[in-house]
Amino acid sequence: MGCETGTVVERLSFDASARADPIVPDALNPQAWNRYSYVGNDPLTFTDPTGHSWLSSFFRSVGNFFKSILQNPIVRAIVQIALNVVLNVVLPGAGFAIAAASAAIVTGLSGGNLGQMLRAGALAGATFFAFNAISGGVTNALAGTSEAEAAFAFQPEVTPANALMLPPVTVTATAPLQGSSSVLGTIASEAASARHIGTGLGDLWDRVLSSPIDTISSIASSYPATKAVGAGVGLTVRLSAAAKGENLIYRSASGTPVSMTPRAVDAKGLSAADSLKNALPGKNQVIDTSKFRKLCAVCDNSATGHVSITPKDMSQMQGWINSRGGPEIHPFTQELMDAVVGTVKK
Amino acid sequence: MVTVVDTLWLRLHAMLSAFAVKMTTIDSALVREIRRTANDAFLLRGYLALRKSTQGEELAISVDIQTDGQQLVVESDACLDDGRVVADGPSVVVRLSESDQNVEAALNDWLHEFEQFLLKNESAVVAVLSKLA
Repeated sequence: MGCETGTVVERLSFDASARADPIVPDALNPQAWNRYSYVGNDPLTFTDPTGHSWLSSFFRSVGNFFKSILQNPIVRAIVQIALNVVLNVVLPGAGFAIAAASAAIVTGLSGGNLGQMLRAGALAGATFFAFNAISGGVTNALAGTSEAEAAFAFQPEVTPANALMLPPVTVTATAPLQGSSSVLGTIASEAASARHIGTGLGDLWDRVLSSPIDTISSIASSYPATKAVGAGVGLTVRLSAAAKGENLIYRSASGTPVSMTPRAVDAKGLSAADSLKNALPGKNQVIDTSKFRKLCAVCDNSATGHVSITPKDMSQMQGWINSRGGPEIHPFTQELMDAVVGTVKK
Repeated sequence: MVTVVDTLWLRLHAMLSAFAVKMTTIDSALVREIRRTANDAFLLRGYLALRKSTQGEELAISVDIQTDGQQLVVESDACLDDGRVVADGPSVVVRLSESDQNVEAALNDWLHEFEQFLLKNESAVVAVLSKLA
């Protein structure tokens, strides 16, 4: 993918210089592979020997034009979507490759280096797989808008839920979309490139990207939720506890000491769920069980994902129950509250 | 950071206390508790808890503050002890790279919203409290 992109980029600056640079200054920069261009990849800086050639001015204008318009993420998304469409016609059925190629090409055209191109391509390809797994649910909800509109409406946002990148992480990309999985990949890669939007947003995708494809697919398919947002559709991707590790459980509770202390009916343990998917609706406390010392969490029903939180020494369970509503916070309740690493509303 | 959270909590405590007094005026049997906690992930977990008996159900108005060192995330809600959300409160993300004045202004705005949230949901809270077991 990168070589194809390099070819495209090279055309933009062809004839720009009369003399080949004997050194390729940055092996990761495809625009530097063109030894007829000067100083990195900035077409603003290339010259011809006379400095006044109408031909070089023309090519410089073309290069500058592409570079400037592709700095705009919306235009970049449109170009990427257009490439998706064209490549889908030329290579029907090669969704992964198309999503990856178009993302990489656009990244290259907009001045990215090879690392960025590969990253964009891999992201788009990976997310194609991920979203393809849930495309039945998603794409059916996405009909009726043009792809250009989709690009214009793309508006990733940071919410309190995702701002700190606490598990589970939520990234929301809102867009009315055409029912194409590769477009979903495009939107996702745009979210990935929008690092300025929120701290750690790129890190999220780094983590997704570093996961095996089946894990990504599993993450996405665990949360196929789509919801109407204005004229568009909100696509929510969450990293599940499974992606983060096996230590997270979800207890539906307000988070106060009373809500984290068992009642008389909880003699077998405080209830929780092994994943957000299995968690009860409402506010859930995300608990990292690796922080437990005197408590333990046991999944006692794999079908429902029900988890019981109990003292390791069950003879202390009644004492814990009796402490509910008392003036002091019981040590087990305190241990549980100390293990809360985030909250999520479902 | 500690100063910001402490200052915010002082003002929150006053608001929650006033709200608790209102609720106990309506139902003098209510047990009320205002407390703040914290852990590795939360700078502040402050709440007003209201219940009819020690072992009974509880309604809590909670405020959580988290940070990653670059921003503060403040969230609030009114919620039953089993996690059912009665009302979502205001939330805000405050970038700590902003000037002190901007951070303070953002938190002031949030406090104002929180005060409005309490006022707006007063009758809903009373209705829920009346049904608590």
